[in-house]
Order: sequence, then C-alpha cells, then structure tokens
Amino acid sequence: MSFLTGLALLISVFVAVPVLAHLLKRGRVQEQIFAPIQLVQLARTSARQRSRLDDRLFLLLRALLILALALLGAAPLVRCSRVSLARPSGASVALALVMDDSLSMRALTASGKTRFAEATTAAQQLILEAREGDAVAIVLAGEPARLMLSATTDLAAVRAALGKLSQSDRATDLVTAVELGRSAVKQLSHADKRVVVLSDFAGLAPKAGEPRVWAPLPILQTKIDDCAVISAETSNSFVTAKVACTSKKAAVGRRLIAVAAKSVSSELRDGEELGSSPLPVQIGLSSVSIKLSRAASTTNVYLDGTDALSHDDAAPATTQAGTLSVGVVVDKALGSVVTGGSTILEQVLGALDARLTVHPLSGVPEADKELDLEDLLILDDPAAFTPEMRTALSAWLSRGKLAVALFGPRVENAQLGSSFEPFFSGGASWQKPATSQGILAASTAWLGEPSASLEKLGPRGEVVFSPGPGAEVQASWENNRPFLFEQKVGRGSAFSLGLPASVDQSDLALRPGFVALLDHFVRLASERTGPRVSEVGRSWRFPSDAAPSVIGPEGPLQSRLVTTDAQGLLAFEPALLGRYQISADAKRQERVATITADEILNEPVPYVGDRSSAALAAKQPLLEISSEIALAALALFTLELALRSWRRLKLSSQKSDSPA
Amino acid sequence: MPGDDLRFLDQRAALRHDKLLIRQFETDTDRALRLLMDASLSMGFHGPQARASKLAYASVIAAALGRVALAGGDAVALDWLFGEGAEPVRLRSGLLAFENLVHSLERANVGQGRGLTLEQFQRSLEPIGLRSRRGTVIVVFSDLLDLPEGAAELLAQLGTGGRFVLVIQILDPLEAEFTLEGPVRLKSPESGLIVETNAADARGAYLSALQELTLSFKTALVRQSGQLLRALTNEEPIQVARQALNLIAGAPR
Repeated sequence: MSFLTGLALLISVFVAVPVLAHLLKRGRVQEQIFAPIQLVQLARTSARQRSRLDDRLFLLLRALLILALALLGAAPLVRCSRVSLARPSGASVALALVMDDSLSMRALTASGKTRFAEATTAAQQLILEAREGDAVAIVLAGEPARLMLSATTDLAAVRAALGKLSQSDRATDLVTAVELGRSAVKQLSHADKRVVVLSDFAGLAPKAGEPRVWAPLPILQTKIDDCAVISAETSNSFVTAKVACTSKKAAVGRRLIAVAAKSVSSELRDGEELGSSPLPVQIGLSSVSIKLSRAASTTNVYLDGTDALSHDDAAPATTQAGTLSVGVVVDKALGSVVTGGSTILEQVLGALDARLTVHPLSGVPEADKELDLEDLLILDDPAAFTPEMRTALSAWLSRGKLAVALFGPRVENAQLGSSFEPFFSGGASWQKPATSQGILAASTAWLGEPSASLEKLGPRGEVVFSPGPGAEVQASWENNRPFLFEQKVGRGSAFSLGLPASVDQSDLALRPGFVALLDHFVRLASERTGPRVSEVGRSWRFPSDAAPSVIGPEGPLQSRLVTTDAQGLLAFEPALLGRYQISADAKRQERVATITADEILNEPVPYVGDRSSAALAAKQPLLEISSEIALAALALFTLELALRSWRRLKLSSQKSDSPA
Repeated sequence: MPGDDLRFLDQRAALRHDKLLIRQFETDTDRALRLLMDASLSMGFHGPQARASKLAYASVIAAALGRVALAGGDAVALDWLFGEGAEPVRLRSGLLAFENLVHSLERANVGQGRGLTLEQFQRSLEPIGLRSRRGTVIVVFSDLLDLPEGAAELLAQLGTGGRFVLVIQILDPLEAEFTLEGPVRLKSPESGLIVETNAADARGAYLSALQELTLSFKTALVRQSGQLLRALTNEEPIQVARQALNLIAGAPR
C-alpha cells in the first residue's frame, strides 16, 4: 500500500465526526421546568423512539458516506483480489478445469457458501479472464470422474456448462479426474497448458505430471467435524447402520433415529419414530443397531443434532432382500482348500465389499425357474451341459442375467449330447502343461492395478477354447489365446474363463487379480439386475426395450438415461443418495443409492503440488471498483436527502394537524 | 300589558288614575364573592413570554375582582389551596376587607401541592361549600395541572345550591402553546420527573392532551351552570378581569 492509499484511507477516521456531532447534539439538550409534564409523558415513548431511530439512521448514513468517500479516494490504488491466471508468456492458455462435485464439497466455508459454490465462483472468475484463443475443458471429479466439456475455445459454451453444474453425493476421484483433464488438453497446440483443480482434496492426491496442477482455493482444504450415515439395513426387528465420523466432537450427544417413512418418496427425516440408539463417540466407521418398536414397510434412519455437513445425516434403510443373489456351482472336493470350510470362490465373494448373498448350488439346474432367484451364476470347472441345462441357462440368461464359467480339466468330460452352449458353441480342451505362464497384462488393463498379479499364474494346464462367432475376447494368455471372453445371450451375457478356481490347477484364486475379476462380474450383475443398493455414481443398466423410467429424490429423471453401447443398453447414474423407484419391463422396483465411507473419512489434505505450480497464479490479481463505490456514495447521499425531506414533510403536517 | 301577573295589579292606583297599573319590585341582592387560589408549585412558573408567574398574575385578577365586588357593597372572602404563608381572608365587606385581601395575596408563596388525593381535595373544598350561601360567586384561580383526577366534578359541585362557580385557568404561554423546539429535557417542578423528548415530535400529542384536560373541566362546570375561562399570563389582566365580570354578570340568579 502506498503513501497516497494510506492517506486516502485515513479519511475514514472522519467517521468519528458524525458520531461526535450526534453525541454533542444529545448533550446540548436544554432543560426546561415544565409543570404539565404528565401530558408530555403520554406522547413521550413513541416520540423518543422515533427520534432515536432517526438519529441512528442518519448517523449510520453519514458514517457510511464518509467510508465510501475514503474508499473512493483510495480506489485507484486499492483493489479486490480474486482467482486469476498469470500469463508469463502472454500467449493463449489451455485450461482443464477439474471441478469437484463430490459430497464433501457440500460443506460450508467460513463465508457461509458451500465449497462447491466457492469452486464454481472461482471457475467463473477464471473464465471471465479468459481471452479469445484460450481453450477450456471441464472435468468433474465426482466418482466416476467424467469429462463434462471437451476442450473448446468457445467461452460462451464454457460459461453455459459452468452454469449447469450441480452438486452430487458422489465419492471423490481426483486422480482419474486430473488424468482426464491432462489428456483433454494434451493434444492442444497451446504452449501454456494447465490443470486447475477446484477441490477440497478429500481423497487421493493427483499424481505429479504435465501439465502441472494448480489448486487456487486452499480455503476449501479445511477439516470439518462430520458424522454421516453410510448405509442402513433392516433385518427382522433391527436396523443396523454404518456411521462414519471424522471427529469425536461431531458424535458427542447424538442419536441415530429410525423412522417409518410415510411413503417411498417422502423426506428421509419425516415419519413416526420407531427407535433410537446413541452414537458411539469414536472416529471412523462404526456400526449402530436400533431395535424397532414395530415393523414398517419403509424405514429410514437419521442422526439428530447438527454437524458441518447435514446432507449426509440421513439414509434410507434397505432390507436383506435387496442384496445381489449369487449362485455358485462348485465341486467341494476340488474347489475348497484342504482344511475344508467354504470353497475358495465363496470366500472370495464374501471378501468383496458388496452386498450379496451367496447360494451354493449342487449343480446346474435343469429348469430356468430354479435360477429365478439368482442374479449372477458362477460355475467352477463345469463339465459340458446337458440339453435341459442349456435350455434352462439360455432362458435364464436371456432375461438379462449374467453367468461366469471358470472352465478347467472337466471340459474334456463331455458326454454325448452335451455342449458348452450358451457359453460358447465350439469345443474346448484342457491342455497340459500350459503353454503360457500368465495373462497378457495389456489385455487385462481394464482391471486396473490388480491385473499385474495375473501375469505369472504358474498354471498346470489351460483350456483351449474355440469361441464361436459373436464372442468378444476380453483377456488373453501371453500366447494370445483367449483367456476370458463374453458371449451375449439375449439380454444377458455368459463369460468363459480359461482357468478354474482350484489352487491345484493354478495360483489364479490366490491372486488379487482374481478378486478384482469377480468384483468386476459382481458389478456388472449389479448394474444389470439392479443391485437395489449401490453407491452413488455407480451406473444401473437396462435393456433399451425394457422401457425403463426412474424417479429419484429430485423427481423423474428420464433425461439422465443414456445409451451406453452398441447393444443399446440404457444406463443411469444416481447422483444423489436416497431411494429411487425404477419401472422396467412393466415391473416396479425400488433401489437405494448410498454414499461411501471414504468420502466422509478422507479428510482434506492441503495440496502442495510442485514448486512451479505456484507461479500459475497471477501475482496480485486486481479489480477496479471505483465506479461501484461512487455509485454507493451517491445512493447514500440521495437516501439521506430523501429521508430529510420526508421527515420535514411529516413534521409540517403534524403541526398543521395539532389543535390550536 | 298582556301577560302581566294580575296578582301585582295596584287597585288603588287604578282607582286614582283610572288606569290599570302593575306593581314592580326591586330588591338589593347578596352576591358574596369567594376567591379560591391554587398556590401549588406549578403556579410559580414564569415563562420567558409571561408578564409574571401564574400565581402573581392570578393575584392581580383576584384583587381586581375583589375590588369591584367590594365597591358594589358585596362581601369578599379568600381561600387557598396549598401554598406557603397563605392565610385565608374571611368574608367581609368594606375597605378593610380589600386591604386584608391584598395583604394575603402578597404574602402567599407557592408550596408543594403534588400528591393530594381526591379525598383530601374534597375535604379542603367542604368548608368553602358550607360557608357559601345561596347566590355566592366562587372564583377559582388554578392552572388545573396538579389536581387529582375527579377534581373537575368536585369544583363543579360548588356551584350547586344557587351558587355560581367560575374557574379561571391560568397558563403560561409556554404551557399553552408548547413553543419549545428541538430536543428538550423537561423537568416537573412538583415531582422532579424528567422527560427527554423532541419538542416538535411531542407537540401535537401534548396540545391534544391539554385540550382534553381543559375540556373535561369545562364540561363538568357547564353541567352545574358554571363557567371556565382560560387566561394566559402574557395577556392584559384587566381584560381577563373584564371577561370574568361579564361571565359573572351573565350567571343565573
């Protein structure tokens, strides 16, 4: 601040002048002996109050006027700061705006606005400074991270896209979002490229790389005291809820309350109270059970009291019937470890972080009705299927179900009249010893990091398939033979795998990649059949001819149904937690979208970034506000004049009305 | 003359003058004047526009009325409400009575008058009522500001039994017109109560209240054939005395 600025601001000291004038005026009141004082008393109260009110109003107006004049004097020198871009080279800039629309961005900042609102404002300020030739892409960091707007130089389109942004209850996926942002601007010819992350960084920090990441809003990266209901499940006369708390302070003195919802679409906190239980005072995830006073068709739970994020304090409770049903056909002699107990497949399925019920089946049913209860069927080392089995499997699969067969040595036990349809139409053989030691990493990249564990499986043998036409290979052996392929059957899919789960044949079942593989199938089945309970952001898929319609917490959501692939499957991503009513195939179904515990428990971590990222902000962004201050001063002056005139008119009318 | 009372037909004169003559009578009246002075603290107020304090101003008018009454041969008495050193003057006629009257008026000072209950006020009026015969004119000098509620009816009752009550309300111009301006701190001489207000804002309500007070006394007095006369201390006292005499002259006998 320069000397002149200080001098101009010094004018604001004169705010004291009207205050002193008012005080002197009050002290100068003349005292008068007056006998009929009781007659004045009658009119005293209102007169005195009005007098005080007028005085204070005038005092305030004059003080504000002086302040405005002081600021006006300093205005060419004092300016407001805001988010702004530095242009060291002066050239056009390519920006990837990573907007975090996750649940944690609903928390309020010190200014009373949500983090998301602060982020949106900052993004709009950046776009205001963008020049012709600047390219901007918008990526949303709520899981799954997605590209909202490809890099474009049409700034009007960017502004329109920013205007359409809305908050969600998704988890945070900054790593993917930043990578998406980088890839969105990577191909552009601009010399200056940046990834601007407007997030609270409540999750894994983005990896270092080019273009560099700039986080211009450190105010968002503050910890909050919050407790959230992650999920709730009704069983018999109990509701068991998972509650996550970021601090003990947020949990002290709070109760979890179960209510009977009046209707499926009613507000989560409304309804008759069925029971409550105190919240354990601990940081992290805890389980809370409530004994219900009576059974109710629709139950919700919520936390009483308040915390930093009230949106996540309530959740719908689901019933056990709402979980995914997985049928498992496995020969216990082959599929279990030597110590006995559950088969490896059942153990792996039980370890998945998914709501599923595993049904061990003695064999492949010969009537499709017996499979009606199942959403996913996993067959471990099956022999060829009899015609009855094939008919039952095909009929069941064509209704949109999913089956996975882990073929092994038994493929060679084909009997007369049996085949491997509907999994594949051709033949198969168990080749021993195996010609490959593992799976081609590039072919299983879609599994993510665990795919690396499938590179060296040490198989004793391998199934050599002859997939029929229409089969889609999804993973291959090192020698490029198909390891995993998908065969469409009506609306459903049948997946064939070239190794069984048995540890006697390979290390497949002991590798993380196997867990990821089963998780993938469970997710696919959940998306197809409707998991009834799934995390926010996880898509639900419907056959296009099922004519699906969705009613969510926000109302009908038809416009959010999008076609996903060539098969014409329609997908819907629930963005908010709550109950959804789905109508598909003339059947009505209720599904629940829940939040993730990680989203609550991952506290914002101040993002440091690399040293050079600090240079991405303009040194001291400036904003001229003289005209606004001048207008405000003029308005104040006019207001005082108007008030004075009004008061004078009122007094003169009072005098004329008073009795002579 | 048509309408003449035949009882007063003078037969002797009719025989003597051969005309019908009616006898007419003229008698001397006994119109005693009883002056009642309010000497409460408020009567000591002397505003900037006034000639004198309200008590002094009332005393001049009272003396003038007494002088006129005594000159006409009527007796004059003086009674006090409140006041310090204020001695009543018994009903007397003649030159000495006037000297007593003036002496008493000169010696009187204002005194604390606040807090008088209606019963006490009634007791102080009772001897006046008892000592005033039919035809007595009672003139009350007061600003009417410190009197208890219901005093208007008690003053009016003095006018029963053939008596006539005239209340002369003495006010300072400041009190009558509330000519103050701006923020003022008003202090009661009786109670010391302070009211801070903006004069311009309070004026309307005050004048209305004063008008209402005056009207309540006037209504009560008129109901008993009495009268109320307002006098401001910046007016000519002789004019006020003349108006008072006119009102007394017009009083029913």
